[in-house]
Amino acid sequence: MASLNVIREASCAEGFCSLGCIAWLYRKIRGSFFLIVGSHTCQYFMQSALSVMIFSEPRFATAIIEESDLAAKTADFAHLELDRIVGDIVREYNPTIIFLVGTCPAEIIKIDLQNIGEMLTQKYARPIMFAPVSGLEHTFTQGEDGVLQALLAVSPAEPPGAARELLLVGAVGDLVEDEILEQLAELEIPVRGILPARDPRRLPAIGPNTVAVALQPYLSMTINALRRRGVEVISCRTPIGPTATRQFYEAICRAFGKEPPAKLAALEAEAWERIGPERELLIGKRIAIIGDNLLELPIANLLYEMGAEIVELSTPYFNRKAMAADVACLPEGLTLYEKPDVIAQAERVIALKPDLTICGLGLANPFESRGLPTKWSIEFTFTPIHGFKHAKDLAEIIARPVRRGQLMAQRGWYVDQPVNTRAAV
Amino acid sequence: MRLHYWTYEGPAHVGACRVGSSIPGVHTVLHAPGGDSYTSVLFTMIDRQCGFPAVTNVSYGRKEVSTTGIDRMITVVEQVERTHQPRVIQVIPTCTSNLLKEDVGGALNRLQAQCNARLLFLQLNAFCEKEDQGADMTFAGLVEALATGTGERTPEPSVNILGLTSLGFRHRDDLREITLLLNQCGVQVNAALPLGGTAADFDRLGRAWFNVVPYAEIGLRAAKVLESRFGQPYLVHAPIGIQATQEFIELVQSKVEELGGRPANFHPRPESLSRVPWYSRSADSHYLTPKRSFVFGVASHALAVARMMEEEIGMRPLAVGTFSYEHSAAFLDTCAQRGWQGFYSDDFKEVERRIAELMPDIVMGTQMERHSARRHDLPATVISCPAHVTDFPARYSPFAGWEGANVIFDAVTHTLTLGLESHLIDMFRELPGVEHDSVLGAVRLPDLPDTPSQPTQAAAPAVVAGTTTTSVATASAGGTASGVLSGELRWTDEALAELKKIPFFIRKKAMHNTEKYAREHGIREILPQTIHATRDELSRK
Ligand code: SF4
Repeated sequence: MASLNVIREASCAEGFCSLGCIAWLYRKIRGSFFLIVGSHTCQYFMQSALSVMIFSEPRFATAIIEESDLAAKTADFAHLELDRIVGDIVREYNPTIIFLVGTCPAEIIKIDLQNIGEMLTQKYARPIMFAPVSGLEHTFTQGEDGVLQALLAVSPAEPPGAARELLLVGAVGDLVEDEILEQLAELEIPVRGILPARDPRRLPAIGPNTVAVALQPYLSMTINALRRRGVEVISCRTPIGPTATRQFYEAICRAFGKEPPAKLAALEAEAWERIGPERELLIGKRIAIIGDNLLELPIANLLYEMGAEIVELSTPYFNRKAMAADVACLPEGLTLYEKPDVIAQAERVIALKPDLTICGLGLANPFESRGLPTKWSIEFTFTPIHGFKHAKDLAEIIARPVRRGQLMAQRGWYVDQPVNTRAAV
Repeated sequence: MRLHYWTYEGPAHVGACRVGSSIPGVHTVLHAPGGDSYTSVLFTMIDRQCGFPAVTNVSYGRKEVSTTGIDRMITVVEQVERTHQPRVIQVIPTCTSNLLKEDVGGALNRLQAQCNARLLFLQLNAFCEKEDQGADMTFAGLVEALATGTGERTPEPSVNILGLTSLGFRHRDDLREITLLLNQCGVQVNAALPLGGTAADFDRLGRAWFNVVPYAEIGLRAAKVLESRFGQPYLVHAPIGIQATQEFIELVQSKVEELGGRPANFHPRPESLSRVPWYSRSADSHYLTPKRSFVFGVASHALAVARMMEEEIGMRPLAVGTFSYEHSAAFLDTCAQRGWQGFYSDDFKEVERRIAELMPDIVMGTQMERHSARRHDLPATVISCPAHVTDFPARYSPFAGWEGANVIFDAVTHTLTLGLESHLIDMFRELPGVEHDSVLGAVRLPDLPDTPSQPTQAAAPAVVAGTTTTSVATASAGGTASGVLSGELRWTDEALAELKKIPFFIRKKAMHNTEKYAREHGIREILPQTIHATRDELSRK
């Protein structure tokens, strides 16, 4: 086990609100509707920071708390208002499941969304579930953890004597999901289902004969909730990159009492071979990983395995237990900043002059303007990167800015004096 | 509560950050929970500002909310002072902070003694104000606190340009264009704020002879503060379009004269400074004559562009709308005087409905109208915030002044030409089997397999939750009647074939008219005869 030095900073971290998870979950969970109960700020975050545009068929919206609501102060104003709004949504879109998504303002004025959800579930004869998600506690991808818990609350119990089957936990693109299912079928692993299921009417049953494995590293609350329902949880690496993917399937095989077939090693070797050119480019490169979507550890592992040097590593939230398998593979003696102080960190990174900085959207251009190549960490959330097949895509998107950085360095066009350029208008 | 699917304006604190981040030397501290730190992304990504945006989020969490949120804010302010050494730190609350009973102002007052930076707390109410008003109020607050000069006038005529900001629609380039116009009038720019100046410039605001507010949404409150403090008059006038630019020049020069100065006596013939007078007149532009426009945006831009479309480009606006609530009354008055169908709306779906009803030849709106127009196969161009990153182009492309008029003229004609080209592309792409989709772009396809009929009694979750398998039930939706559904109407295959005989560039319109006719006559199934009847009725009108 690597010795990881964790520093938790009192921070003004730069990170997206966990409402952001709606951006992929509304597409993943067919027939769902995400009703954010919050403010103008919440709505604007969804539409502008994530550029989630709604087209002909909206699947999320914000019930915006207004001045008059604050004045109302009657105990059930929120219930009445949400009843009306949910009624409209049901009439217009007839969703299969509605998530009542909590927010900071809803929490501060103590709207009891749990209770309201239960009442509306009865009235509208479909699950209307409170998803505990807000910018007060969670960060970006962790929002999915809240939504999955809401789904778990409607997942049926396993019938007695159910077969022992694998449950995959975490949203990945449909393409990746199909590939993983195919691979598991080949390995003859019985699969119960996936949380979140594409069709929310067909949620997997949960119980002591369920064996869960996480596809994403940020679902610790869901994993704990599964444990409470008697589910056995496989601890293994997040299947990102060739080696981690092999280890992921091997751990599953072992959990089902099977000897991992040699084929897995062959698939791993093939995947490594495909990313040969990128590996060559990244060997010895100094990389800062300060992303905001909680995939920092698996990405650090992959880059380390590709021969890069990790010069700075931070993550908005760290759970040693849930991420144990990923931690175990990190290089010796690394320091991990949890919820880093963005000001101090930026200074550190500028001084380090890494060959590549993997960071949140807001920091990329400021680093680029100082001649430091960057990669948006958010791309790892929206690009298929899991499994053997997508190791190439992942390596390619990481290598691209390094290649581009080399081109730009030849030009020497650094624009690191924004103040002066603007003052000179 | 009100349901919003999309909103034209951001929350008030975004406006405050637009002002703060436009002025080097001003740092904005957002008193907000961790999740609100997205604000800086707008500046580095959409406006493509380089450098770290001068916005820092306090990022308090649940634990701190009711106890030590203020302490955390103070720590952040101190850290910002140490690291960035700004002249001014403005602390802005977001919605969550509005709900907390905290004395942020008092805490900052106590902290002021230990800080070199001037600390300001600008109390915005996120539950009332939106982005533009937030920007306007923030700027006025900064002026109120920082414009402390003597008010002694510059010897030569000079003005302040007030209210251009980062993330403003083409504000970067408008600043240069408006500066040029002023110089042509023999007037110097004493200061330009927020965009174009620094924190040190507040001191000199009082020296200008008068103030110019190009776009009334941001800057008007600040101009009023300066009027009462230094007796500086102000001009509010958007120089967008040829005539509006001419008027701007006249207004500036008569103001100079009124204040006892000698203006440059600059009364140019517009055709010597812009190509629009000639291009609009040239024979190539005759095709614009029967075309109609639809204009929507922030009040100042929508009014100015609508006038330019009507009087200078010759594409009468069928409707002119705005989402600027604060300015909607004056906006509607102007529309009424000009005989336009004016409207206020902050609901993009309503705006889209109007577009769909009017079916104009060009839509000029925000990035949302660009999307809406695309759904109805109409050419569109963006003339107002909210705008996409592509509306912050690399090339010089102001909206104001002589060059601005050229830019708008090009935007109109390029959009119309491109619209024609994309129709051609669509036409050649129409392959068998997908043709219905390309004709009826709005047809919705079912997303889920048919719902097994749900009992409406209680205990819904148990009903909805499935069995223990991953298998997907594929109850295929057996033999439905052929044809395509559009809302409650059904197009028969024969009618669709008939529709395809209509030239592609008016097909969408024909479809729209036929459906309207069908609805008016209670027809539910559209046959080739329905199309013919529609045409007959229209030709009688
Ligand atoms: S941080 Fe809170 S107030 Fe801000 S967008 Fe997220 S949930 Fe809404």
